[in-house]
Amino acid sequence: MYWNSWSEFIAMGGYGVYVWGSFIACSVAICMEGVLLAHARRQTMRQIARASMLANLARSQVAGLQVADQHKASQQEGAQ
Amino acid sequence: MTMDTPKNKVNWHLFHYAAPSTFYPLAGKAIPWLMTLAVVLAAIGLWIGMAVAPSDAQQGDGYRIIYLHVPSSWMAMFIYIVMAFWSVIHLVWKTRLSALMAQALAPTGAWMALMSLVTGALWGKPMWGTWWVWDARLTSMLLLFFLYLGFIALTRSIDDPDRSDQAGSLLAIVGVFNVPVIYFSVYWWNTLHQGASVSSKGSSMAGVMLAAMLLMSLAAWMYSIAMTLRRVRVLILQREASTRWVQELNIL
Repeated sequence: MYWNSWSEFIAMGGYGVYVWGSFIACSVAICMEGVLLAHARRQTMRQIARASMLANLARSQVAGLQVADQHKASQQEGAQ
Repeated sequence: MTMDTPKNKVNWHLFHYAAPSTFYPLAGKAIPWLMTLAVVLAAIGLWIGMAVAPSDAQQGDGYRIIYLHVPSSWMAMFIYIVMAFWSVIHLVWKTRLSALMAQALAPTGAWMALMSLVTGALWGKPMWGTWWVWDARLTSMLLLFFLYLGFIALTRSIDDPDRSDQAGSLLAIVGVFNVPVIYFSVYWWNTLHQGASVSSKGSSMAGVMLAAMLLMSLAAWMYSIAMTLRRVRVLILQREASTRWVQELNIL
């Protein structure tokens, strides 16, 4: 271990501001990258969820119309 | 597709993981391991560099900024080369995933370049007496940062995926010629920036300092790969949003 005390470690031989400033800058950059990426992922998930919901809705509507058509056709057959 | 002949089998293996649907879960499995490795390597590297290594004869304890500055500078340059590599692959084989790899690499490269510039300025102020000089090394590094930003802006501004991939690939390949300029700038021009401490001819650094710097560089590698894989997974989801395999992922 090179240092004798915590205060010596913090002072960094008079370069403390620059050394710890570098550490803070890099920590901020890494956190920002993580936050932005997590945000992009959440947004993408929401879009996919919406898209698949709409697709399901459209599918069920088409199915519903088909059922209605069949019903109508069978009614007409019955009337004849 | 038939896969009975040995020749087809080899092709199948080579391009198997190039399919986004296969690559997506594979990347997902690798990310926690890479991140753990990055944290462990950085912890050991920082312990050696910040607690064990002695101060520098000329630069006192201010030199310790190199444990952040050198790995981020190396990564910024290296990531651009990898980006250009995937761009060439994309233009030659038209593989979808390689263009996405280039686009996933760019933001991490930009962050690395920014970290390199900021830590460099914080080192320059006490050592040179100035935050910034327009010398060859610093200017070419700033250009690299802008190349990353330009690549990100270009690929995001074009809506058509094919055209976006192609334009991005071209820009990445054109810009890669800046990387050797950065690297050799300290030899080609008379710059304020010091020469390389570590080169193919060996190292001029003390063993402990070198060990810490290499550990930090390895940590930066693992971090960059993990972040790139995380980002490429998001890009894959965006591109393949309407496909069946994405809809069946059950991510809701």
